Amino acid sequence: MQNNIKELRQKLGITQEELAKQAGIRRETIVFLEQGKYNPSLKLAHDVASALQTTIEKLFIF
Amino acid sequence: MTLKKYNKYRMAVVMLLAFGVSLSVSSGNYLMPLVAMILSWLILYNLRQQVDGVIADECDYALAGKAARYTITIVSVFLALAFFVLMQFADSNHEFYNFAMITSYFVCGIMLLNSAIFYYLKLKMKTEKHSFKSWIKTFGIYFIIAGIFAAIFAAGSLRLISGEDSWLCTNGQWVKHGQPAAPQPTEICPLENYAK
Repeated sequence: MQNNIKELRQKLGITQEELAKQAGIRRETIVFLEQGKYNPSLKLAHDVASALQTTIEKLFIF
Repeated sequence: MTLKKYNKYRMAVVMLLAFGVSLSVSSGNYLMPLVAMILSWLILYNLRQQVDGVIADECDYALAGKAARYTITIVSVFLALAFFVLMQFADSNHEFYNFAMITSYFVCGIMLLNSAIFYYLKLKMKTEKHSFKSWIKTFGIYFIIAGIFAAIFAAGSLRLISGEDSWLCTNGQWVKHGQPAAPQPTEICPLENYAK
């Protein structure tokens, strides 16, 4: 699934490590998410969206 | 403690455990691996508590589930093939028959356990947590699983432990051992002793 995680993260000026810490996941998972290699659960999508101060609809391209 | 440091400690503990187990096997002490395993588990549990970051997240669990599925499939197919190959040699050497039986029981057991856990988790997801009905359903499945396993292992153990029912070639004569289903072999029984 395509997403805007990388763009929004760079816009906020935070690292993958920091985003992972805020979302409560591993940095490697952020890498997979940014590359569109892993489809997150609704909870994880919500956590990442919250950490990036946005909504799921804006973060993920359905 | 950082995740990197934890992984280094974990590797060291696993290596020490492997060393301890191999040492105990070579020395014939089978209590030592049990103690080593419990100790390692306690050390790892303690180390895990001190890690600051996330050790595993949902991505890891999803991959672990996928890996487990592949492992079960590969092991089952491999052992099922091994069963057929071993059965081909069962006539010439009865040890192959025992190995074949062990592999078949193992495959059945692993597949049954996998299905049982899958349906248990599905049931757990479906039912409400605190209702009496769900309690019965949850524990009922435990009893069914335990019953199936007890039956399989009892049958397997009896088959393997009680000794095979076969015709034994002793001093040039066929001697009945147990209650063999097959009739007495028509072949000539040589002077060397072996089981048919």
